[in-house]
Amino acid sequence: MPGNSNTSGTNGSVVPPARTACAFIPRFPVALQIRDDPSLEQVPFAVAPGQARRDRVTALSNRARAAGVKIGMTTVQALSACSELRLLSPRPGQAERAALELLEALQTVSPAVEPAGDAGSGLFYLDPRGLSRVHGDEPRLLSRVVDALKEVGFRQVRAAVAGTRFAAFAAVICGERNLTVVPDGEQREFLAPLPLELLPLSASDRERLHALGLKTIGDFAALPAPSVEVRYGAAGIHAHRLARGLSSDLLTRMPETELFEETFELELRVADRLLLMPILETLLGRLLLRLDGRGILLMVAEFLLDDDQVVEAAAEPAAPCTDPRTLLTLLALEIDRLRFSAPVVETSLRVVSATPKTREQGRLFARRQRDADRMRRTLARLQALFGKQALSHPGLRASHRPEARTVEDPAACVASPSAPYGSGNSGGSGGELVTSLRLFDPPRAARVRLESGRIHSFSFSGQESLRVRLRFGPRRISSGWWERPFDRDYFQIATADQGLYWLFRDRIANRWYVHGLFD
Amino acid sequence: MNAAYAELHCHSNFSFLEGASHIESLVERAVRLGYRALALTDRDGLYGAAAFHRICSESGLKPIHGAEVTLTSGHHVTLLVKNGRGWSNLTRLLTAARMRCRKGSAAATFEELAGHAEGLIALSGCSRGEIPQALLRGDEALAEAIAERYRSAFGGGFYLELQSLLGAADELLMARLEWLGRRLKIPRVATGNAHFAAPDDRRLQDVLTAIAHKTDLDRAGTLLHANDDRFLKPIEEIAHRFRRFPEAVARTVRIAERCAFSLDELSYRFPAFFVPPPDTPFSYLHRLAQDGARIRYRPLSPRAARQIAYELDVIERLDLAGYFLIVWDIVRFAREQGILCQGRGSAANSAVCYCLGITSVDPVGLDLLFERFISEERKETPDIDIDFAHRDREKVIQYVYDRYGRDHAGMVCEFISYRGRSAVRDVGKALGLSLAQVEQATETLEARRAGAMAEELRSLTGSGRLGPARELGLDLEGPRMRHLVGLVDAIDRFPRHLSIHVGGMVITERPLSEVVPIENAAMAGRSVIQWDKDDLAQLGIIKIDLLGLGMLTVLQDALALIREHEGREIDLAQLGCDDPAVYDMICAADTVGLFQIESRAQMNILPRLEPRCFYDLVVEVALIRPGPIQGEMVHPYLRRRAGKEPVTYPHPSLEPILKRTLGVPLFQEQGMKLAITAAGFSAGEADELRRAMGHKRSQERMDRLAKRLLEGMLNNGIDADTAARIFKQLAAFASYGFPESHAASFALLVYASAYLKKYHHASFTAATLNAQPMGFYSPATLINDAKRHGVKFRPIDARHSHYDCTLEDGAVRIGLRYVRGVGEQLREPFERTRRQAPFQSPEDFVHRSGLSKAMLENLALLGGFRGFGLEPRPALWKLQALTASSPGPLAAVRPKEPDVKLPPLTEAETLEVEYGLSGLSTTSQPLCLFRNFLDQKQVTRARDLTRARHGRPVRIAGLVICRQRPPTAKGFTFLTLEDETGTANVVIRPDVYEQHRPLIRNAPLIVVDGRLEKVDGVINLQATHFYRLR
Repeated sequence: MPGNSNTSGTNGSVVPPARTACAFIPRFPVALQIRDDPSLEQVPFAVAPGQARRDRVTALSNRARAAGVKIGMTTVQALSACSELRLLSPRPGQAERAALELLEALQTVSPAVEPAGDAGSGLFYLDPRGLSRVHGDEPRLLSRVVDALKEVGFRQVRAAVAGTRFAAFAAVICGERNLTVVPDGEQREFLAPLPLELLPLSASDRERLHALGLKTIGDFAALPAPSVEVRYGAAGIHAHRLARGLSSDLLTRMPETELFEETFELELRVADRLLLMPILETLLGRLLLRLDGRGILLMVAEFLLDDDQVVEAAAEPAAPCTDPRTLLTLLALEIDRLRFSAPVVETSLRVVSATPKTREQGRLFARRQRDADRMRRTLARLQALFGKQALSHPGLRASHRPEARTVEDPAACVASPSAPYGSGNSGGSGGELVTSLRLFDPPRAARVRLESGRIHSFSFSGQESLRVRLRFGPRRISSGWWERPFDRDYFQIATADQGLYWLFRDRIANRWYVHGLFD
Repeated sequence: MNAAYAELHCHSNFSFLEGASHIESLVERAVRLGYRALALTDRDGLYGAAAFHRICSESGLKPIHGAEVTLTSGHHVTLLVKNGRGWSNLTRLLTAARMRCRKGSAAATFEELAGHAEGLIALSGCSRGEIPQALLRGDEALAEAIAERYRSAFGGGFYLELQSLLGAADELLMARLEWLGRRLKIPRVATGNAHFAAPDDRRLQDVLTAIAHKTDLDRAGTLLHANDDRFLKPIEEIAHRFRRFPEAVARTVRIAERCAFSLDELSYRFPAFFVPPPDTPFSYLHRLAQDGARIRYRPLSPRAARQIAYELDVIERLDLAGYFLIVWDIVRFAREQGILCQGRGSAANSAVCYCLGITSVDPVGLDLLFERFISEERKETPDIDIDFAHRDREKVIQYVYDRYGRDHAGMVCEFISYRGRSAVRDVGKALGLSLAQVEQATETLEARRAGAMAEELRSLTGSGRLGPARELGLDLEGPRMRHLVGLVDAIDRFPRHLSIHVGGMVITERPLSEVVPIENAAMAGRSVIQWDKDDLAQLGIIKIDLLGLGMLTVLQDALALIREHEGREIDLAQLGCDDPAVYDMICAADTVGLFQIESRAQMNILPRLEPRCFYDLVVEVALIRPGPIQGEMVHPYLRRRAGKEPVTYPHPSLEPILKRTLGVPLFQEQGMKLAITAAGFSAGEADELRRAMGHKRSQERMDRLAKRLLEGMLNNGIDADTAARIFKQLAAFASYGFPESHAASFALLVYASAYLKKYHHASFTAATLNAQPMGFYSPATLINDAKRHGVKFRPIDARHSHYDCTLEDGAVRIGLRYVRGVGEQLREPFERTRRQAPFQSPEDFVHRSGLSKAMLENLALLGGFRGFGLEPRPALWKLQALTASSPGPLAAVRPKEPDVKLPPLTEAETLEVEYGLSGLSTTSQPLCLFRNFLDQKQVTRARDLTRARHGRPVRIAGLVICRQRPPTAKGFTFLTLEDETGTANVVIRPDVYEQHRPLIRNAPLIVVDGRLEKVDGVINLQATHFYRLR
C-alpha cells in the first residue's frame, strides 16, 4: 500500500518507500519579475498577459496590493485603483525559460523532476529515492534543492519531502519552516491538523464539510469512506484518500524533459557559422525522432566558444512545429544575429517546451485537422522568413477611428482551429460607405491652402501642390474623450490630376493630414 | 441671417438612456437660440410631456408634443401632434405598441400607425427610418413605394426628414431624399435629431449609451455616436448646413404652426359611479355621510353637523360626489375582505371622509382645516391616500382593475432617477471600473444625491483626506477617474427607467389610453401609465393612492392571533387611546417595534415630551420630521412643554392657532392658518403658499407669495423681524412637515401598536415577525426586546413550525419563513402538506415538505430536527445522505452506516449559524460570548447605564443595530448598540467620526469609550474612542 514503509514486493524483495519531494517558489510570477529586474521591488506593479484594456491582472506585488489593486481586475480597473501602477506583461517564453532554468537546477539534485501545472506555477516535484548516497539524508537533500533554486536567482524558496505527492505539496504550502521533512509513514498525521482548503474539493462540498464542524484534513479523514462516497461522490472519495495519506498519485518520471538535449563536441574549432548548420540539423533530427511527433514550442541552441563564453539562439515557432526545415530556418535567422567572440568548440540543442505526446487512440474519433496543421507550418515558415514581429493576424473592430478598425492579433491565434481566419467582429454600422481603399499608417501631414474657408489645394510627403477639383464633406468623427480624444473633419477630395484623396483636419491640433487615397 | 427655425425632432432624457439633457436644459437653449418652437419626440413615450408643457409655459416657448415611434420592423418614424384627436391617437398608438412588448420595448405595426394617423404629422425619421434605410441600400423603387404608403396614411401630413449630422451618409441621404421628394411631390423638412442640448453633453450621452448596452466606453465602439453633433444648433449653423434646402428649414415653422395642441385641452373625468335609481351620486353620498355621521358621532353635535353639511356643499359644487363614492367603494371592499385599512394624509381633514369610514380620526374634534384637503379656489381635485394591510393590498388593486376595467384603470408610474450610488455605479462601470470597485466607492461615500456625491468626490481629490480616499478604492488623480466626478454630477436626477408608484391609481371615464399611454409593468397583471404623480397633479388628473402599510398587517394579524389564542376580540376603534400604562411605556421610550416612534430620534424625544394623551402622540409623530427640525422648532417646543421657557406667540392674533402647540407651529394646517390670520390670505391662497414652498418650488411663484405674505403681516401690525421669523418657520415645514390630520391618523396606529405591545406582546411580536421586512429594527432586535419583556420563544422545528411564526402555550414559535432560502411560494404547499398529516420522521419531512436540499440543510443546522432527536450536525450528516443527488443503484441494500462522531455546535457556532441562516436567535445574544472579556475591560452593560452618573467616562459594547447620519444633524452620527441587557445610544461628533470612520461604518460589534450624558431622562454616550470587538 502506498505510504507504508518498506513494503515487501511480490518476489520478497524490499521495495523502497514511496517518497516525493516538492519545491515551491511562492508567488512565482511576481518573484520572476523581481528576479529579472530588482528595481521593481520599489514600485507597485502588476502582471497581466497584455497591456490591452481588457487584459486582467494575474499577479501583484505587495505594494500594488496595498494600493488596492486586486487580482482579476482589468488593466483599466487596476490603473483606476492606482494610477502609479506599472503594468508588466511576461515576455514571450519568460516563464518557460525560467521554469527550464529551475528544472535544470533541480536536475542537478535529482534526475527525476516534474513541473506541476503550467510554467507559471513555480511548483516542482522531485523523486528523492536513491539519492542519499549523493546528497545525504532528506534534510540535506532539501537544502540542496533550495540552494539550487537560489542560485537561479529566486530568494524565497520552500521545499518539502513526504510519503505522497499531496503531503509534500501540503508541506511546502503550510509547513512551518521553509524546509519540511514528513517522516515516512507519518503523512496522515502530518496532514491531520492542516486546513481542509488544501484538498481538491468543490467550494460547496468544502462548505458542507465545514458545516459539519470538520475543519481539518484529519477531521475529514476520520469519516468512513463509504459514507463519504454517498455524500460527496467520486471527487469526495479521491480527496478522502489524499487526506488519509493514501495516494496512487506518484511522481510521473519525465526523463524526457532532461533528455531532450543533444550535444556535439567539435573536433575542430569552427568559426564559420554556415558549418554549424549541418551539425544542428543532425542534432535536430535526433531530437525529433525522440520527440515522437510532439510539436516543438521552444528550442535553444547553445554554443560553447573557445574563450569559455556561451552563446544562445532560440527558435520559437508561432505554433507547435515538427518541421525540421522551419525550425532550422528559425535557428539560422537567430544565429545570423549573434556575435561570436571566439570559434565554437561545442554545440548543443535543447527542447525547452513541447506539446504533450499525442495519444493515437484519442485521435481515432477526432476530426482531422490537416488544414490547421498546414496553417501552422506555413506560419512557422513565414515567421522564419520575415521575423516574428512581422506576422500577425488582422482582425476587425467596431470603431469610428479608421485606423482602429483593424487590429493585429498574435499570429498564433490563427493557428487554432477554433478561430478561423476572419471570424472577428465585423464592426461598423450598417449603411456605412466604403471610405478608402488604402490608408496611410500613420496619416501623412499635409499643407492645405484654403480659399473662402474651402480647400483649394494641398501637398504632402514633399509632393507638389495638388489643386482641388471637387470636395465632399466634412464628415466628422470625434470620440475617445475618456482616454485619447480625437476630433476630425474628413473630406473626400478629387484633384485636378484625377487623384482621389481622403484628407482630414485634426480639430484639436488644427493640423491637416492625408489619411488615404482611393486607388 | 435671420432664418426662422423650429426643432421638430428632439430627445430628452425621457428617452431613457438615449437623451442626455433634462427638458429644462433643452427648452432653455431653444429659447436662447431663438427657436420658434420645440418638439419633444422621445422614444416610444410621452413620459416628459407634462413637464415639457409646464416648462415651455413658463419660458414662453411653443411646445410641440410628439414621439419617435418604433415599428415592428425596427424602423423609426417621427410623429407630431396637431390637435386633441392627434393626441389621443398618439397615446392609443403608443399603448398598442407598448402592450405588445415586454417592459421597456415597443413595436407598432404599420396598420396601427395608419389607423391612428388622424391629427398627427409624420416625418420619415432618422437614418433608421424605413425610407432612409431603403435609400441607403440604393433601393429607390422600394423607397418610393414606402413613401406612397405613408402619404396615403397621413395625406398632407407626411414629410421627408432631412438631417445633417456630419455623418458618413448624411450628404448622400439628403440628396436622395430631396430627389425622392421632388419626384413624388412630398415636402421635405429639416430636423436636428437632437439628443442633448449642448456639445459638452455628448460625454454623458456616450456614458448613457454604454449603460444601455451593458458595456463600457472602451468596448462600445460604433454603438456610440460618431460625433458630438446631436445638439441644438444655432439657427445660422442650421441655415448653413441646409443651405441647399432653405425651403426645408422654412417649413419647420409652418409645421410648428399647424401643431396647435396644448395639454391644457386634455379633458379628464373620473368614471361615473353607479347608484341605484332614483338616487344621484350626490344624494347617495349625502345619505351615506349622514348614516356614517350617526355612527361616528354619538351624539352628533351641531358643530359636526355644520361641518358635514359644509363639506357636502363643497363636494356638490365641485362635482366630486362620484369620486368620493369610488373611494368609499374601495374601502367597503377592503372591509368586507377583512383587510385593515385607514385613510392618511389630508383626507383626514374631512368629516365626510370620517363619516364614510375612509379615515379614522375625527377632524371636528381635532379642529382640523378642511381647506387643506379641498379648496374651491384651487382648481385641483383632492388626493385621497389609503393605507391597507400591505400583504393584502394587491387584492384591492385587482378589485379596482376588475371594477373599472383595464381600459379605464392604471397604476401611476414612478421615474427611477439617478441618485448618488446608482450614478457612481453606472458611470463607474461605463468608465471600465469593476463592480467591486464601484460598490466599494459607493459604500465609502456619504452623500445621497448624485450632485452631492460628485461634490464629495471633488473634496477628496487632492484633499489629503487619505482615510476616505484610500477606502474609496479609486485613485481620483488617475486620468480616467477625473471624468467620474463631472459625469456623476451631470447625471444627477436623470430618469433611468420606469417603475410603479407605491400605490397610485388613476381611474378614468373614457379609456385611459386616450389620455396617456399605458404599458406593461414588470409585475404580471399590472399595467402602468407613462406619467408620475406630479404630472397628474399638474394636469388635474385624480389619483387614488392605495398604499401598503406593514403596521396594518401587523395589527390585523395580531388581532387574529389574540382571537385564536386568547379568545378575545379587540376593536381598534374602541380602544379609547387613554390607558395610562400604555403612555408609561411610551414615556420610558420602550418603543421598539411600535409604529413611527421606534426610531432612535423618537426614542430620544419621548422621555422629554412625556406623552400622556392622544394629542401628545399627534405632536410626537409630527415633531421628529425634517421640517420642524430644520425650522428649529423641536427644542423650543420641548422647553416650553417642560416649563423651562414661557409660551409666547409671534403676535396675539396667532394665539388661537398656535395655542395647542405651545406657540410653536408644527403642522401644515397651522402654517396655512397663520397665513390666513396674519397676512389675510384666503384658504386657497394659503394652500397655494404651502405648495409653492413645497418640494419642487418655483422661485418666481415663491417670491410673489412671500412678498404678499410679508406685506400682509406688516399690514396686520406684525413687525418685520417677527414676520421674517414666521416666514422662515413656514418655509421650513411646508414641504417636510406633516399635516395635522395625517399625524393624527398615524397617532392612532401608534397607540394601537403600543396597546398590543403592552398587553399582548407575544401576539404582537409574532405578527411583527410575520410582516417583515418593515419598521426600523431587525427580527433579532425585536426578539431580544421581547425576551427582555418576558416573551418566550421556541426555535424553528420541523415538527411544530408553520410557515409563519405562531403561538404555542403563549410562546412564539419561529416559523419556517426564517430559514434562509425558504420563500413565500412555499407557504401554501407546506401548510397544505402539514395539514394532511404531521411529519413523522426526518425522512418523512424530506419526502413531503417540498423544501430544497439547501433549505433542508439550513433547517438541520438551525436545530430544526431536534424534535426528531437529532442535534444539528448529526441531522445535517443524515440529510446529506438523504438528499444525495445520486444515491446509486445499491442505495436500497446499502448496509447501515457506521456512527460518525461530529463535534457539537459551540455557543459561538450556534449563534453564527442562527444569525447566518435565519437572521435571529432564540437562544442568545452575541455579546454573551464576550461578557467575561468585557467584564475584565470594565465595560458597562446597557441596563446599568441608568445607574451611571452624568458626565462620567463610560465604556460600553454592543452589536450595532442602527447607524444614522441624518442630513439635518450637521455631520453628527448616531449609533444604537445592543447587548444582552438592552440598547444604548451613541452620539459621534464629526471629528471623532472622521478619526474612526472605517470602524464606525463597517464593524458589526464595537466597543465605545465616551462620556455619559443624562438629560431629562435621556441617556446618550458622547463617543471619544472606538475599538473593534471580535
